[in-house]
Amino acid sequence: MTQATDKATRTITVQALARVEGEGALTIRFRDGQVERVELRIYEPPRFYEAFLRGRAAAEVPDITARICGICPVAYQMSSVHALENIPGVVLPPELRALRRLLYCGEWIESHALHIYMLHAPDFLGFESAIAMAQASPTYADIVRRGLRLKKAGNSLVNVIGGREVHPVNVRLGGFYRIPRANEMAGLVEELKWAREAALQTVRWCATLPFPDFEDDYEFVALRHSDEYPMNEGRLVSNRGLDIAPEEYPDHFIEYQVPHSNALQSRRRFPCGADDGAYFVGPLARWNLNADRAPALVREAAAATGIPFPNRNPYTSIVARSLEVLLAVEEALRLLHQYQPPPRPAVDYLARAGVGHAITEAPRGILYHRYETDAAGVIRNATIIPPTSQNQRQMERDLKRLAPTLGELSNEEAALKAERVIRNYDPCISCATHFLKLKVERR
Amino acid sequence: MNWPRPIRIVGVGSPLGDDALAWEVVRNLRQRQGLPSDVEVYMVEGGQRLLDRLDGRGTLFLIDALVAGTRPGTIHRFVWPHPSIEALRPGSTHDLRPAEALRLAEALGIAPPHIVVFGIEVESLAPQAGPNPSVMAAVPELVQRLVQEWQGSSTIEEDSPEPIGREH
Repeated sequence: MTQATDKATRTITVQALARVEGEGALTIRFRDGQVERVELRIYEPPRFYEAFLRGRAAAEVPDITARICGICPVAYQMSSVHALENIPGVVLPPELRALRRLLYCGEWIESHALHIYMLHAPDFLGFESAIAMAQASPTYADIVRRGLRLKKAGNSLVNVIGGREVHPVNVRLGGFYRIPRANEMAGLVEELKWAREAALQTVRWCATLPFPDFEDDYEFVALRHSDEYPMNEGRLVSNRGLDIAPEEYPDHFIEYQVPHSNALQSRRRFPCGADDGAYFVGPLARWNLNADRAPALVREAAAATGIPFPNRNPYTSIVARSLEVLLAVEEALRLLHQYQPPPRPAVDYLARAGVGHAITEAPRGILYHRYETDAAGVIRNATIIPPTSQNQRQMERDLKRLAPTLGELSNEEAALKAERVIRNYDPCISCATHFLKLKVERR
Repeated sequence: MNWPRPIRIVGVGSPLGDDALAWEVVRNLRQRQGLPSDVEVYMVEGGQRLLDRLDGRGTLFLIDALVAGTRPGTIHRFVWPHPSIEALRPGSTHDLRPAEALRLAEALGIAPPHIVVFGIEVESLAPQAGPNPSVMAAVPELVQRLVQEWQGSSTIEEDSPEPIGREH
């Protein structure tokens, strides 16, 4: 962290953002007490996935894209298979579709539990890390233990359906390579029943955390499905009237380069509010737009928190995230209860030339994929727009709003407050290209 | 020393580049004839999975890559807690470092009473195609030392501030 000596200017720098996935830094520059510049810099080198997908067979794509993230590989598999299946028009039978939803539930549980307990809750409670939290008292140790066990319950689902916990290998175009046996699936139920109770406790606990007053008029963007809480499919909607099919995404959103970051940012192509095209994706956006699609148990848990939803305070994202853990556990139990091994692991399809789009709901928000294939099913072009790219502009806007309150704080306190704003979004910087380096410049 | 049972030997790291050394040690141990029933051997890719292997009992031998400025392939041995273990594996954002995992295990009451860490000096942590021969040359010796540890025939009782064994 650095502080310029010139009295008129001050620069707060967070050299490495902590408790986020990947490597990023933050600079806030003041001139004469006024915020001059806020930059969220993602300095992880670009990984060129879109370029090296070109020339690969479509069938290889789900296993390659799963490597983009160790926390949300299922999201990358789901958006890629759906986009590629849309080219020949593959329609999955309901039982294979349910199996994919179940796999996604596993990822939501493990990713959300990790973020709530290990990365985000310490912010609200004044701990440096989850380790410090666990060391503080037996009560907090029990809370961390609950978080780790919840995460493991999600990992077990991914393991059984996906073939392994991290970077699963069982998803293929048309379905799966191998169908889980009924006894493997039955073996998950007991732990998920525990997880349902633990998730309810998580919701209650998250609702007691102190939320700074930080409301704003955001544009929340999420999928919306006709009759279920969105994961794998739906139309893309917002609280400002957006309502489009996934293939219309490029007509409404644009990715662009900013000089200070290795990750592309995304904005609305035609901004319709005061926020200059920034928009908000992830659990809070999903819950705000889709609470009516949640199972009764989850809606009741949300009502019991006393926190009003739809909610425009990004700090309440942790509550939305906890509600989605409960939702994913409840959905997983429902799907496991109905489970009959499908007669065939996958449906046949014929490769053909075309363009396919898909949006699915990664734990951190919408993940857009677009592929162009030739007649042999070889990838000619690929576009992947991860949720963190989409939230980046919004994070910078939140930081600009926060910055005037940082002027009187020490650099350490200012850095922590700025990091907290960023952690509301659970950014996966590795995906976009858990470190924040904050630089505050005062001039 | 006769280490309390169960003994758990856990390798940490990715299977790529020099980080693969722990995988090789684990593979060697698993292929040995006559692995005692109270000696369990695991491979984990990071600190969180390490927690899954701990239950507050027995002895843990942890194997990890190490950057200490010694010759690649040099074996180091530390008894936890030890400040040098903090240097094991740069902090990853997707996972806990082994030292963080051990501290969290202590806070959660699942750390075993005895923990010994073996670190092998690596040449490079870049995820290249294969491990460097200089590092892999240390594998047979480390396997032998682990066998001596569980047999209670190791002559090293305390941590070795100096590298132990041959410098490869």
